[in-house]
Amino acid sequence: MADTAEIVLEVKDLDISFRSAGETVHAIRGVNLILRRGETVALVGESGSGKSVTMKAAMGILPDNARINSGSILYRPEPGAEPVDLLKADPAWIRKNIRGRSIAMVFQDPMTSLNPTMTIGAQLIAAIRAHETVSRKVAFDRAMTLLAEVGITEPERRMRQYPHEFSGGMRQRIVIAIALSCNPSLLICDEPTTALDVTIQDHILDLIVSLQEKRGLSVIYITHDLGVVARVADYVNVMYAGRIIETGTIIDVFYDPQHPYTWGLLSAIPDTESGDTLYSIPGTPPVLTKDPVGDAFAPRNPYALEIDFKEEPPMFRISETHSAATWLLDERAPRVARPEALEARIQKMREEAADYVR
Amino acid sequence: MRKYIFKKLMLSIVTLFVIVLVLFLLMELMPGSPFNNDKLSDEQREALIRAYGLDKPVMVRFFLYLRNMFKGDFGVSYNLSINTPVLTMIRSRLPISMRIGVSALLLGSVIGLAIGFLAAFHQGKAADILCMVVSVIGISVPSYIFAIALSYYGGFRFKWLPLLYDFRNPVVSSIMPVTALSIAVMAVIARFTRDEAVSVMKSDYVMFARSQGLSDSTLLFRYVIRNSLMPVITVMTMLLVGLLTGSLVTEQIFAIPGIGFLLSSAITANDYNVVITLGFLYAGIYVVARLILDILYGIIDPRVRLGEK
Repeated sequence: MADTAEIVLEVKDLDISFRSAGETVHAIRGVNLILRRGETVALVGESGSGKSVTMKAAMGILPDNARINSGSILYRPEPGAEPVDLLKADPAWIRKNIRGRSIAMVFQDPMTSLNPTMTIGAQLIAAIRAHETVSRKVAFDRAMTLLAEVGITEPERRMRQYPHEFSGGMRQRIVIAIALSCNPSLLICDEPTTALDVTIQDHILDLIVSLQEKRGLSVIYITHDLGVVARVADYVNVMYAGRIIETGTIIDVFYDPQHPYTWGLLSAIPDTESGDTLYSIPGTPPVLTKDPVGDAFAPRNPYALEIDFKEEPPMFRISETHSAATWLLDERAPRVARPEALEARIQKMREEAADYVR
Repeated sequence: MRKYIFKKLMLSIVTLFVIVLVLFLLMELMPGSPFNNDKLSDEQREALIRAYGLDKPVMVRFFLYLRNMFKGDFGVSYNLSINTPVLTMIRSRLPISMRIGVSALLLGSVIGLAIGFLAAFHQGKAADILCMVVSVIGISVPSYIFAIALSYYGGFRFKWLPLLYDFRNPVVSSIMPVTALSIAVMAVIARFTRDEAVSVMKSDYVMFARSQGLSDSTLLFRYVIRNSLMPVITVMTMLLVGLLTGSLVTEQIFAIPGIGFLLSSAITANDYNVVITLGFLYAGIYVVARLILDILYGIIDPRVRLGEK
């Protein structure tokens, strides 16, 4: 089933490094990513795998010590418009027309992402007036509507309050309201629920999903939580050490994972039956001060082949939508079955999903 | 807010009371008496001590002094300027010290804030490094070195400015002492401002603000500067108190008839009432500064104000 919706964002061969304390960290090593209008793509991986950096590059808010070595990020602001390469566009133009206007971002920790010395109302109004020349009155009314839309009661009174007077969940709603203040078409959610209580996480995800449907947003989730991915995403990209190592629809990746790293991630989801011992992937991700030789995951991979330590695997195509970068998919490789515990888990997920649909 | 100020005010009064008590007890421990003139016989000295009531127990004197204080009577000088009320002595000297201290604070703060923000905005670049070298020098070299250097070059070698303080020409003759005192202020403020602004610029809320495409001026004024100011204001207040009390050496170099000079003479001469009154004055300035600071916090940072509810 080929997806024919218009491509909103296309990241091509993105390559970024950071200079810090005399060392160069090659954080993003050739990332490719496609997001289609109205759909949801998840970027999954451990901390430091380069998820956030990829998206910050799209918004033009990389730190000063970052250098974009190559690649392009093509973005189509309006349906049918010519795509613009965000990496080549004028920074002032990006600030005016893209950042906050067409692409908005929700950050991880709502406790720290609002300005502590400005009222909620002032922050909303500033965000609106950053892109639109409207009177304070118009901006104020719009801010109130936005607050109501994200489920904040008594918006008029709340507008005059400061961030510390709100709970974490409420603050994340406000952050979302600010992000949506100029009707963006693409919303990037950087770990939007990680810093919240479990019960609040659900509410925030529901809110984002309903806003997405209502406003026809395209959404990118950056997360390490596969539970979140399963709930919201259409497509999943698994990142490891600055590369995407498996990509596919949610069905492809959850029910038929191919990369041993994805197997590890899926095995590590806590559930009610995992008991006392929760599986964790052994070892730590490589430090990217020098490019790994072979597959970056090989040292942690119990299924690693000899070639994994010598040559980086290319993306092997499994189906129209599904690809993975592991030598196990090469025709010369021995057949390796997924671990039994994981197969059992996949079977269980299928059954649960079937129940859910029923 | 009113309740918050009231609570701070009460706390200030208690602090001042404790300070006077401690001052009294410390003076009691000091060796010697105010009447150390060799020409005085033992009988004459005894008579003087009785006349001023210094033979009474320390706690009795403390409460007598406290009672007089409430009437606005801080006692008279015993030997520096015999029988002149201490308040009269201070009244002519305090404005001079304050004017110089406040000028130094303002000058140092304005330049320090500018340097600090400049360094923060060019973090890691040449401007930043230069600013920080200047501030390290400013912090580590004592102000009297600058005072001596200034008075030698500016006053003696090139004769640009008057060498000594002149009450007929207070503005021009204050330039050198104010400059000497402001260098340390500038250095400290620059350092604090830079570090604070750098951490604010790295904060999540500035990152989120950038992602909203806010204009640079909004980011600068409503996000970075406002949130960096809190700790800087704290340091400024502490520096003000330090300027009033610590300009002692500078006052001597430029022969400024201020209270720093008075304090050092009063301590050597055991002029009790002068020392206690000046001690009380310094403490008072400090406490009032803290009070103003607490109120300012409440205005700048809503979390402080509302936390009291």
